[in-house]
Amino acid sequence: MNRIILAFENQRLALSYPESLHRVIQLLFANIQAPIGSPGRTLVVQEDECSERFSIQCDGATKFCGVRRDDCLLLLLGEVVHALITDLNSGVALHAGAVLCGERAILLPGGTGVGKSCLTAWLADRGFSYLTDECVVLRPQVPYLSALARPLITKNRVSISIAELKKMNKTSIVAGSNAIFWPQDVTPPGQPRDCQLIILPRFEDGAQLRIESLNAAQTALELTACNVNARNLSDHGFGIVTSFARCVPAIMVRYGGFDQLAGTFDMLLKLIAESKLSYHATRRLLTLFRTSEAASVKRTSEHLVAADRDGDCEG
Amino acid sequence: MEHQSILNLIPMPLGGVELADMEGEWVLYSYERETMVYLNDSAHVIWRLCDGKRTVKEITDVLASAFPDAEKKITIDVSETIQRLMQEGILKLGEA
Repeated sequence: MNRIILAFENQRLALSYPESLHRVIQLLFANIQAPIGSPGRTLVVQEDECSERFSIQCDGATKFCGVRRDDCLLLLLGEVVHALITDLNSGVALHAGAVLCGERAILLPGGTGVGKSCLTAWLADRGFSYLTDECVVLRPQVPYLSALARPLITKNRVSISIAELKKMNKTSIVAGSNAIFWPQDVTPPGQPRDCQLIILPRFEDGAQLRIESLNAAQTALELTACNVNARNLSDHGFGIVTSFARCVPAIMVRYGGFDQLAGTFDMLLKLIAESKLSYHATRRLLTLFRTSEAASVKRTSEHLVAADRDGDCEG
Repeated sequence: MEHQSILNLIPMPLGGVELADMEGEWVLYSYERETMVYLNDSAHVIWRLCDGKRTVKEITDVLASAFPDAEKKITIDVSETIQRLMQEGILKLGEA
């Protein structure tokens, strides 16, 4: 068995695996390997050489058994992320993608099915440097974030196919209907990046392109909905989330296909990045896309408490 | 729950709730429910008046005296807001 240490923020994980998976494990986890450190958790992948099936154990408990190689690798990616954020308490862990535009990060928070991974992949294909499509930690030093580097995963039911991506390394690390691959332009994890913009993706089949600027309260609601480690933090991350939401401008982009975004949305992002606008100036610029605020809150959260039914509240 | 039936009850904030000013709008976070709730200006004023001492009627009267032209709307708003905050686990109603 081979053994490596994987690290993210203040967490360490020991991963043991059979020699037959060595090459692919190195491809999957090269960017989060740590040379030393005592692990908090252990993951063990075992192979039944007779059946060529695999099992995954976490801290001695069997999580999966009898799975095929490619399914095992996909499941292992999820287990590694889960193990690295379960006890993480150095910041607010979000289900989110992230790319770099110049030296500054763009955060793409979102739950399953909103098009987060696809938009992250598309941006990585349009000249933005890839950080992650899965997990970001908002650090107490607002507005800095850290990204958990892992390969892009495009699932068989999603709105984008690898064929649409022109600048990607299109060779999937696994076979099958789900593709796992690294973009060509990947920024290795390192120092935390300051976050210039928050984008909330909303892919809806057949939808018209619409960009909406969000106010700070709406942004806080959206970030909270993506928080995956609230219970590890003394204030559930409330302070960091609200500080981020006040500081970093946010937009929601609804789209029905990437053809709508080419030359429009990507250009807007590059304009903001290349202009080196301040947070205040960026927020000011994005008021161009502000719609009725009460209506926006209703769409973005189930937790609306608005006594004013006429939608005339001001932000 | 109709407004009339709660008029004499006292809305009481439950523990473990934190309020933040988000540039003129407000969010409440419930530690127990792990949910965040958005308050617009009107809802925020109502929340502030829920001090565990005033009844629903007294809260309505305070607002109606400040905005006499909107008394009917205020009555509905206070009732709906309090009930929504109850649904979110942020308030409970107690006997006067």
